[in-house]
Amino acid sequence: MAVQKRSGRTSREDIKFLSNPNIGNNRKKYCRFRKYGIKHIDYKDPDFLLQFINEQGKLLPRRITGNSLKFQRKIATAVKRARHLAMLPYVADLLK
Amino acid sequence: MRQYETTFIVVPALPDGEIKKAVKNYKDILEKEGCEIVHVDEIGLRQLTYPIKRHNSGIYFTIEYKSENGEIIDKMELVFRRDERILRFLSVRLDKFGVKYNEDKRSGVIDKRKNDLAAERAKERAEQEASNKEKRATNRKSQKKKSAERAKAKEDAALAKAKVTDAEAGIAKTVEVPADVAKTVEVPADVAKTVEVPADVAKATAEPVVETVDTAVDVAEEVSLDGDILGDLTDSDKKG
Repeated sequence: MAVQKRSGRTSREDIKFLSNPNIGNNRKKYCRFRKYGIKHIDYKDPDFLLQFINEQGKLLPRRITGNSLKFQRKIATAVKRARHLAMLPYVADLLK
Repeated sequence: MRQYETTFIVVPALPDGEIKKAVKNYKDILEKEGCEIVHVDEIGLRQLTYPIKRHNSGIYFTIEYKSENGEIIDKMELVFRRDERILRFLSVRLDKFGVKYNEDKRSGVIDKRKNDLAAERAKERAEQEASNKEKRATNRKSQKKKSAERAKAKEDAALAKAKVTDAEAGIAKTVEVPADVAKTVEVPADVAKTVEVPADVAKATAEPVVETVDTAVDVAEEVSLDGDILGDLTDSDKKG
């Protein structure tokens, strides 16, 4: 009985709280390199590059980091160089 | 003149003199070819993120130099490959921004700027967190208010129902008992009405009311549950 009632009763108010309400009004993403005028990305600085890879050590897409294409490319090469120098892992688990 | 930068990793399990000798060896090679050495940076011992030739750590060096063309790099890399002490090497041509970056780094400008940026970001994050907290507090307040309203509605409905059942039992004629209850409930007008209406009609009107109130209360439960989930989400967001 109770289960039947439950299924027929999802009002708009319930759905509103099923997802994080803060997702909708996110701040606008921006390219930090353009905003702060960073012109060069150092491949010897793995702590900085860590912001642009996920837990498995994969590069994060632009739609998440907000980087402009120009600097996303530079980030990609920098990460690859850092991997070659064993400053970042090629494959990892629970990197962060 | 183009500026280049070569980073290489030396085996850590070497006597100190051997390491210095290795670095000096490469410096000599460069100078012999007519390159101008800008800077030699010893980054130092670092943990490797993956083992190379069964070594788990290595000593990092960076040599910055100016050269007319890149021919020297081929020669130097050949020596690197033949050298057992070298785990990895990487030669990169620096553009003007790279040159400036390295100069700034040496003079300590970069570190200062980095700290400033970090501070700025921390401030931004704190502000956002504060606003989030405020929002969550207001949300919680409104939810509490709503649930309180619903609880009150449910109480009233229950009382009304009780009265209806009384009326059905035939006490409605006397009306003495409902009157007492009405005083305590503070909604005498409505209750009185339902009591005055013949028992059948009252039942018909009262029942749907009761049902909607029940659902409302259940909804309130669900909403509060979701509130918990919401909190978890925001926490994980912060981590991400």
